[in-house]
Amino acid sequence: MSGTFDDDAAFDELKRTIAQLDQDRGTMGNHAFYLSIPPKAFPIVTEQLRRSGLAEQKDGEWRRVVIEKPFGSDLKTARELNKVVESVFPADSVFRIDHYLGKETVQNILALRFANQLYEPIWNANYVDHVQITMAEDIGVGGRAGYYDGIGAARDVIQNHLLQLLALTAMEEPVSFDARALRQEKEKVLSAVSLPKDLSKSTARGQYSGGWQGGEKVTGFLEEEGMNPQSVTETYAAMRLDINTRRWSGVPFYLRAGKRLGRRVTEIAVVFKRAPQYLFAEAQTSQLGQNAIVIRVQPDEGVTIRSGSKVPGAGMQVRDVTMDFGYGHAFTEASPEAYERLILDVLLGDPPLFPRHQEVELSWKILDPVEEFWSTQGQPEQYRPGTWGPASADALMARDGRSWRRP
Amino acid sequence: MIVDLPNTTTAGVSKALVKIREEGGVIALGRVLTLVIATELGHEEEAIEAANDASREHPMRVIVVSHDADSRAEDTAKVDGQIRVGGDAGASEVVVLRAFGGAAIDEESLVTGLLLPDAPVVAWWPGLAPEVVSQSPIGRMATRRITDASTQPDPLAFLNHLSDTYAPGDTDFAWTRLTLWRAQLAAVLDQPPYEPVIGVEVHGAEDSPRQGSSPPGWGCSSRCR
Repeated sequence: MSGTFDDDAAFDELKRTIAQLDQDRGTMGNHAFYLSIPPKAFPIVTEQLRRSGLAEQKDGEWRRVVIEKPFGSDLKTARELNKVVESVFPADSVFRIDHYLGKETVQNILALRFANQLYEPIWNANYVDHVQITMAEDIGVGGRAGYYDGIGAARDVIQNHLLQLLALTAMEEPVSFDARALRQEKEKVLSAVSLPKDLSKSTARGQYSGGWQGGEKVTGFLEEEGMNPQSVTETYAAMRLDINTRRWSGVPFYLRAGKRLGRRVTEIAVVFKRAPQYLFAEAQTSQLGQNAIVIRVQPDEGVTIRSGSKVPGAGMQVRDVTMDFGYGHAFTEASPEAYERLILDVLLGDPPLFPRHQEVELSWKILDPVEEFWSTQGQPEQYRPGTWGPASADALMARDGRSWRRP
Repeated sequence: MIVDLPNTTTAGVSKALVKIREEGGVIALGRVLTLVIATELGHEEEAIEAANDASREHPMRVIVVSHDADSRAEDTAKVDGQIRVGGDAGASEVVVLRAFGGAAIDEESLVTGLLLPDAPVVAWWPGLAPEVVSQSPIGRMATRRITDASTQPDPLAFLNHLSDTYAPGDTDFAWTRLTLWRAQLAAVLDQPPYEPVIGVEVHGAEDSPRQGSSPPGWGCSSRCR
């Protein structure tokens, strides 16, 4: 079936087709609408669904709607979008899809933290020095130039994926795994997130330049086809966030996301404080870094624990070693694609993995001041493709006496 | 196992590494360091062999980047990759990147995507060393930089230059090759009655960096007056 969004006949035809399917296939009036459409088309499409009666809720049948990011581009537009969608579908029938939450490794954060005794006792400010959440892509914006201009890395992935990862990493233990309990804890921790006072010192952004990356000649962001050459949209964003809870007081969460970086990788690294080293001479532990638990979200899904070990030999030398859990090794069963899992959940009406509107609002409240500040700062700093971002991002960490890990 | 990846990119090699790991479990993350070997086209094998021997002591990922010293023509740009694991790679995994033409311009971005997470990076130039070792694209990402004065056109001048541009982490094989010599010397000097050294005379081949480098200086640092 095809038709434009303003074509009444097409939606009527859609309704007839669905009614036919109800009869032929026994779908019994249960329908899910997956709206993979530009944000500005939402009012007309939801209105069409209402007008044609497709969205009408009836007893014993369900009507659900799946919407994709972006969930608005700031708090105001997110609220408008939500109003439009919820004017037709009740809040419980709206499924905001964030495919990261369908990934095994992300769901495993809950298992790792709450099914084990090993981690939770040290998962707090007494032991954790800081947390780094990285989402790096090695590709550029490519054919999405038009969409990307004006959006940028922060709105594109930090608002949804990275803040969701932060919430799952930092939240308190929920009373159960049902949707309400889980969302409550996520909302609680997101509402406790605060930005440092001086955003010029605690955020960084950049744009990739052209050059050679991994043996390939690549175009700079401003020279991409269809891109506005004066664009001030960032392709790299980094920021420090603090969480005002007793568990995380004084533990910064550093978020970074970008395109054309060193390699494609998404990771959460919980970096621990250094143990007192008075037993060891400085030279003995010079190769010892801070202990860390790294959750590899993609690729090569798994968890790495880094700690020190004695180097074999007569002397006492301590060096970093890793303990490694890989999904591909421990389980030969292939895990379902994130989207498969999520679409199944939509059909079953199982919402724990879908952020609700309050979470979206809270994450915009975190991001809006940063975007406002950036909009006054002119052109972002350029960084070479295939590196780990602009110099200002390294300076951000250096000011806190830390550095980004190589993921 | 040897996997050839003709006409590829760093991202292509990286994907292949993940796939090999998933399928065969050959590659562990338990490596303790990444060794980057920068050399010229055609000289990869000798370096790999030496690295494989060393890997029995330190399991590591070896990345060999080789390119033609002169050509930087953009139209002939390409990268041929190769991955060796298991029996063909000692206790390590070896990635060979042969960069042609313009693909060799940015050495740093060729290698960055293949470095092990967190692990220290050691760089080694078995042949010609860059002008200022610690400032070179590969030298900058390494915590330890190894050169070999004996393979430079003028070994002695190179050593002098190296000492002028020294940065923490710079190492030359000339020093390693002196280890036995130094041990002998220390054994002699470290015995009572600890008399002061009043003169030092070094004999050896004139162009050997071993003789020309540090032994007198090193011997004198504590005992010469």
